[in-house]
Amino acid sequence: MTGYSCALAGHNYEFSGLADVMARASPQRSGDDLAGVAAGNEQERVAAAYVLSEIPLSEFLCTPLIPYEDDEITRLILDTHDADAFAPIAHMAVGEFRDFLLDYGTDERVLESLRAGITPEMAAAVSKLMRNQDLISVARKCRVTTRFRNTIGLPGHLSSRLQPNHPTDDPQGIAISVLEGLLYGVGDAVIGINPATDSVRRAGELLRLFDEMVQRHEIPTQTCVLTHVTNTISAIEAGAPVDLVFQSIAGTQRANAGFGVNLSLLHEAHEAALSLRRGTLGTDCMYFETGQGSALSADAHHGIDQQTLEARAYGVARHFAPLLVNTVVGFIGPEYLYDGRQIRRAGLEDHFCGKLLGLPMGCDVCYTNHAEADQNDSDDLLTLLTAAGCTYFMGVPGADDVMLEYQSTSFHDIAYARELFGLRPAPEFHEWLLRQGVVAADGRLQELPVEHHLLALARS
Amino acid sequence: MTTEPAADGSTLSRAGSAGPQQRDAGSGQGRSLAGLAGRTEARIALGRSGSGVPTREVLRFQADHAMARDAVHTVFDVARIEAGCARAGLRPVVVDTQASDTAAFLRFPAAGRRLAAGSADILAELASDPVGAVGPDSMVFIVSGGLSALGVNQYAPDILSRTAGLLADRGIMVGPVVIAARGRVGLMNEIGEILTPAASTMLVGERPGLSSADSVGAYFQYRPRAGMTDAQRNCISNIRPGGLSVAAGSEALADLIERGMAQRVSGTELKG
Repeated sequence: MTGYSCALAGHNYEFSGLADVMARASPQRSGDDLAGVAAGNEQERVAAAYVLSEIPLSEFLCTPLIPYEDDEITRLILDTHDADAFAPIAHMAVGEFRDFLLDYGTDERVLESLRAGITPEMAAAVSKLMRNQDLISVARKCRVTTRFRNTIGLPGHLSSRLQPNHPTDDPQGIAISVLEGLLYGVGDAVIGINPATDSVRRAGELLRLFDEMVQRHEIPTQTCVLTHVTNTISAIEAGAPVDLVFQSIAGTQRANAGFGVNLSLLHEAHEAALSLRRGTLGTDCMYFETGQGSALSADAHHGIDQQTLEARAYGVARHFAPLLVNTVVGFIGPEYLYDGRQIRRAGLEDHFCGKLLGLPMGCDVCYTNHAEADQNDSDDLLTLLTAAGCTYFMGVPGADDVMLEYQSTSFHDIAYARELFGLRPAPEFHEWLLRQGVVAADGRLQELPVEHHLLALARS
Repeated sequence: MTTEPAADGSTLSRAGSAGPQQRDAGSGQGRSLAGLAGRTEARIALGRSGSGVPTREVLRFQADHAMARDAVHTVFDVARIEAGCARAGLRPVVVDTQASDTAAFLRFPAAGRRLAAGSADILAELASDPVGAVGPDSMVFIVSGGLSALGVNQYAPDILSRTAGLLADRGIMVGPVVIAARGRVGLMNEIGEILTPAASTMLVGERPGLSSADSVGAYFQYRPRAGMTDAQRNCISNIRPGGLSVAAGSEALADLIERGMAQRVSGTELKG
């Protein structure tokens, strides 16, 4: 393994190899401290960044951070790398790549043509040299559009997942949250629930509940029960109305094994969902969630920093042409992202890397009660990510997930972000909202008359 | 209008609260949704000011978050737990983990799974006690503040005494109660290695939620020892007045312990 060194202010900093440079160049976060891979002080961090800026992008193809023989994700990344797409940037070092990404000439079209040539490790590397404003401005230039029953990711649009979680999966409680979310224009990315009870039977019940609502009100959106992929496969076999296959994924084979998945199982699930042909506008039918720290949490991090491993999870995701991907950025807790500052940085990094790699990237802007964060931190990240062109956010009643016990973003927050930046929901869903009278032509929320059919639930 | 948290410790009730209805009195939609608010714990029918959250609801949220935040930093009341042990006729043993303060406990979970050096010695001494403080058939309790000492301080003494009473009726011997301020569930392993009881049960403060800052979790592990994982533990969660009551939680816990001791197993292999 090649070592690296850098002299800074009279001190020589040495790094054992590429993974060590990557980890020590990472902006500070508690998960890298926990893993023992972080820089020892701020000067060492900058020394590592200097070294990283001079490492050729091609080095990431020659020196896998996790050996090819040991990890199927490394194999996936290298086996599917497109040398032709990579050619225009093949001569660049990481620092030059950053300047190139910021260049006026590097537009949406150029970025799209490069995607298959950029590996997750290259994306992670360049992100470490970028300030928050760089992460925002380059991500904003990336355009990723996906389709199932509506069109997600178009310029001028911001989508939302309606997340009606309930501590006991009570159908009426869930329906009430769905109803109110719709009245705030939320739910165009997906109406997706984390079930309190993770079983095939429960998944089937909830899928039928959602399917009935979507059909009855002719809502141009898709639904999902976020259960384990094996449960979804079983539900499909049992004839349940599955729109999207959900799965949490991570950036190493071992961490995915901890989630009970591998590439072959994801492929099987993807095929099963495609076979149902339930999409009317497109066939993008996978929904992935990720989050920095998941590999360390599963003791499967191989001495690599958590942000690089997160980018490798996107390498998995993009192989399956997902409709939606989101990082659940503050959910994992303060031992991985300590406070609002670290959560904000991670959210911007994840969104940038996902977009650069061609993913329809959303973000669950969130925190737990033992992290040093509050609603103001969520407001900040929500606003920054909307500026960055984030594809979608979560809509949780009052931002309080009463099942998973954490704070996300609210129905109100979605309306705020759309109004602030003049954004609309997915066009098909927006048309539906206009027809229902939920929003006015100027995008503002309206009050429905009490006899409106959407309020039937409230009269029962 | 009520402007203080209710006497039971819960925050302002939202179902039937004056805010949304008052504000939306003229609106069919607002009236309809307010009528639904009592049917779910979710924060619906908050009303809106423009697209923003009305002042009343912003403050209610902040009050709940403040309670959860303070719960994380609530001091674990060792003396109270000790007194509870004495009342229940159980022998308390106070130990420390390697997490020296709350920040270390939050940032380095592994520190909360390991005993401080002196504490390991205390337990080793106890294990070799000729009077037989820990019999090979006994069940050892561990109590820790975990991520929120709020509920443990209030309910653990009662849970201990009720559960120990139920176990005594069923012929199960309860050993000493190990009390550790900043412990995580993995601490059961090291304590198990030293005391070698038949089983242990840990009462620990759960991560506080916005609507439940005082939840106690109870974890059961048969033949606790190094290397065991959550898959080899059983958990009864959300023991608190607004969730699983102390009485019902203690009953469920005693049943769980009895089954585990009878089947000589814990975790996913334990049959219902």
